[in-house]
Amino acid sequence: MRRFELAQPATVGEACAILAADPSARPIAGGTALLILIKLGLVRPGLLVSLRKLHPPAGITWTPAEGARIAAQCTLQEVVDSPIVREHYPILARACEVVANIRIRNAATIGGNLAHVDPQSDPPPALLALEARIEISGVTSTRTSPLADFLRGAYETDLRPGEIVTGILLPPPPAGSRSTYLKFTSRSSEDRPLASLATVVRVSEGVCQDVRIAVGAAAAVPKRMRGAEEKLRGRPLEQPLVAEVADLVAADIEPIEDLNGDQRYKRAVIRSLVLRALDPAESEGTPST
Amino acid sequence: MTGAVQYAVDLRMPGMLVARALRSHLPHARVLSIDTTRAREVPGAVILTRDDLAGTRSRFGPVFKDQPVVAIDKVRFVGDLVAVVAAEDLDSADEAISLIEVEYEALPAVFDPREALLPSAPILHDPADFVDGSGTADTIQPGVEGFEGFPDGNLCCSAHFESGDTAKGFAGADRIFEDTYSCDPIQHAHLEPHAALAYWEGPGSLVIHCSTQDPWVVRSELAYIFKVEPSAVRVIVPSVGGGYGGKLYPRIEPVVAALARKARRPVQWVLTREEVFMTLTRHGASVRLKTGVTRDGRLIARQVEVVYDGGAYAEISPRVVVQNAPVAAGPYRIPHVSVDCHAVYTNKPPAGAFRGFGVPQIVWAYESQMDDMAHALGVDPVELRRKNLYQEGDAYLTGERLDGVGVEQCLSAVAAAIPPIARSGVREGQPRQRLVRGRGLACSIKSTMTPSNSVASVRLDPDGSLQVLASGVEIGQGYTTILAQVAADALGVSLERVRVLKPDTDVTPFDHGTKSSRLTFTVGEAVRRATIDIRGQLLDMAADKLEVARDDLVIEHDQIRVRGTNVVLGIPDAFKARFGLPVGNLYGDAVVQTTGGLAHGTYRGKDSAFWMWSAAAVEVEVDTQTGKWRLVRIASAVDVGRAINPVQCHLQNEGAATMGIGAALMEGLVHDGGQPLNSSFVSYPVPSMEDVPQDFQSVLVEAPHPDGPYGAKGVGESGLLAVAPAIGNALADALPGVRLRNLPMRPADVFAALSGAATQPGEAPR
Repeated sequence: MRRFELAQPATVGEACAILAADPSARPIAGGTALLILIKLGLVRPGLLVSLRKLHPPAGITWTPAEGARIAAQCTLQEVVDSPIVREHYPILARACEVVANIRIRNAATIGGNLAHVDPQSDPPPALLALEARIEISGVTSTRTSPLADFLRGAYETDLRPGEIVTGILLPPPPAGSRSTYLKFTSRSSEDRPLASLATVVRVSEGVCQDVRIAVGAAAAVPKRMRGAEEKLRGRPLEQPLVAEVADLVAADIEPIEDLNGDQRYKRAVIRSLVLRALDPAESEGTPST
Repeated sequence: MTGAVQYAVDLRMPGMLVARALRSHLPHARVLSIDTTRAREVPGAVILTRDDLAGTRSRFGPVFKDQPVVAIDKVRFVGDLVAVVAAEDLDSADEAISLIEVEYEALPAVFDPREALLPSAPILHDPADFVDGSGTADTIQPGVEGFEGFPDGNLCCSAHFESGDTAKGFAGADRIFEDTYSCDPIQHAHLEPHAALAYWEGPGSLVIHCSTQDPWVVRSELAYIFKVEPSAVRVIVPSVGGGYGGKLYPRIEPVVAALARKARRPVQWVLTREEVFMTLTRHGASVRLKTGVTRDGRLIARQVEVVYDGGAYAEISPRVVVQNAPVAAGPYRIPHVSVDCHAVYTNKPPAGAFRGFGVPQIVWAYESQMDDMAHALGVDPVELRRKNLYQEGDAYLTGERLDGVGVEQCLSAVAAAIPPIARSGVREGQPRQRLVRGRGLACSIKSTMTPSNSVASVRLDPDGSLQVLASGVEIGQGYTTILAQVAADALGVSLERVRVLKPDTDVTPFDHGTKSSRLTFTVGEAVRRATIDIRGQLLDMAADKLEVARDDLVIEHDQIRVRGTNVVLGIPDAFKARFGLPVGNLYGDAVVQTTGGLAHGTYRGKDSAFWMWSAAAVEVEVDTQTGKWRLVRIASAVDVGRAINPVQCHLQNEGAATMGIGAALMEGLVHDGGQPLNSSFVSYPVPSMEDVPQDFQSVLVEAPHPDGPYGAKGVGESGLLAVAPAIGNALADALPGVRLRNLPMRPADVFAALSGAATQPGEAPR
């Protein structure tokens, strides 16, 4: 382990000022991702800026008009346990609940999870399907960015020097929608996903009124599947349309080949996840695996 | 008081330096030069390279002395040690490491053991390196084991075993089955990394605290390397955080001792997890298996060829080869058997002992084929096995009589625990369900290292406390508890009165190592005999004092009592009666030498002091869209002879079976051009609690062994052996036409096999 200095600012402004002054400094919250990178020698920051003691403390708020704001410092387990999240955004609770194990979930933060942009992570695709916006704070100003724009690539965000993620903003979910998050692991159940799928679907009068599909983990960044959504919108959720949509989603993803599978295999997995999530007969069961 | 345990990684000494290593990034290269000029400028850095080995025997190894303390002429795998640095702190050591300049000349490398045997393959070891001696008597006994000679090119060692006449056997067979099975190398993943702390008390006197499973071999090897008397090397072993074979034989101890010698200060080295992955692996293997069977399901001939990927150094591969040739045909009575086992050098991390000692790779082959044969013959897989299994008192292939044969009981227990999947109607032509289930089972045989030697010394203090001195290592298996139980029972005192000392070669007597599931059988028996000796001495003292016959006395509840009366004498009073005061000690000693060994060349004799029998059955559920499978339930039955501590036996069984699950599903080291691709826990997961089914039945079968304490046998490895083939058989049962022949069986592999099976015209009818 490399030696480093640790700053523990009390305010967001202070944290951003320290980060702006030293471009080699890295923010650290839960540390579950960054410490592995440091240990492997992939990053060697001389200064870590802890975000654990920032004021105001972590919290999750909700209004029917605006939706929810989740403070970035919330741990994944706090998100899982939040009554607000469980009631209005159950797929986010689910996506956070299946991350690694309880020890990791009690340390890792939701803001850190997004800012790290590990390609194989559960929360981002769920947040994409929930149309999250990211609240970003700098030394003097705060801005928001749609999550799709925030996620630039593997381990790459649109954060500028001196900026940190301070919150996640979730619009109210479409009334009467049904959502699913499916995680697929090929090794240990504590493993990161090989592929994952988040869907939010609102069916009324027999047809899909609103549909959002996001695929995670297989490609470099999670991706909304606009073509497949378009194909479903305004049509009844039934076969063979669902199978066609599953094929379309699988074809639209450019999976990264690795030790867990080649493109053909990962597309087969994604196809299977779409079938399970959208097939009314299948998706009644526990949304896991 | 807190329950906290001190491991070698926790030790600290005044003036202690800490170490880091420079390792090869090339799989095979000549080391042209090592320049430490700039590294030496780091304050306090002590650097050890090949230039510092003067006065030592620079190579070591439990059989062949082929492993240099640090690289001498060549590096032979990615991760081979080139230099080590000791410094005041890890940052300084890292800095010095980064300043060492090494010039290599890359050499052609070979990674596949069968390719390594081709005439065109690059040779890893110069034959001249082996003139030093063929091995030490501590670990291998050339005459007895039929093992002799030196490596021949990349062929590290071979063993041939024969019984009957296979040509005749195959000629008489109605059906012959021939397949090749393979296993990727895997890693032990013991929670505690390798760690050692060494210091020299004088030029010829070395003390080392280390996380070893085998203090006496570390002692003899260090004495050999540094040319000192074995008694001048003191090996002290604290609690060890898991071993599984990965801490047998010297690993980092030689280089830590060499570094401490140069630094003239205590040096501690703790490996990083990534380094552990480069330190030792379980042999990758390929097994060609040909079996002749009669129409009614009797196995009559079997030919086995096992090629173990030994990696860059011989390590204990020669013993793996020699020990497994006589058991490679499986737990079945087969009149005609021929086995060839080979270990081959390749430019990969060295392979060595791993729970099961090379047997799981072979069981994987013969138990997979067993189900295919049962299917082809239209026989129930359980019945086919029953028809051929060894029974109590049978003569084994080596000519010895088998005592304590619990294998059929194991098989029956798991078969009953997990019944076949009830199926109605024909499966062919039906649309495939997304989730399908299958059931599979397997059974196995393993020998233990024979002969072997364990000594125990037991001391009774006047306060009635009993100190057990022995050199077995507590690696989490519960050894300490077993010895305490045995000693308490043999004397008649409560468990709390017994203290089991940790190994210290200056204090505790010889033991042949914490391996081969042997401690309960050998050390346990030695402790039992030594304590019975003390009991006799104590009763003599009490009989004198109480003026009764010794046979009238019993020891219970920490007191000596005249049978059938209320007359009692405390242990302190017995000492007082003899010595005037409560002073002195009573000592008991026992040496247990298991007898046996096979005759050189003929392989006849007694192969194993006891036999490990086990069986596993599983039910799997497979997702036919993705190939993902999960265990619905598992049953593992092991023959323990007699369960001295049933809870610990169950835990050993469950732990071993869980390792089997890991090897079946997710574990497999991948190298590309010799570069490790998944040598860390980020990319190499091991089973978590969630990966083990809730329905996990551990069954203990008790077929007592006449030589074990209370009839007990070893149980450390048995539960691992049959799990992977049971899973493979369950997958074949669930998915008609699908047979995976390589471990692990990743979901992607199942998917590929399914895709192949689906497109095959005329899917195999099942």
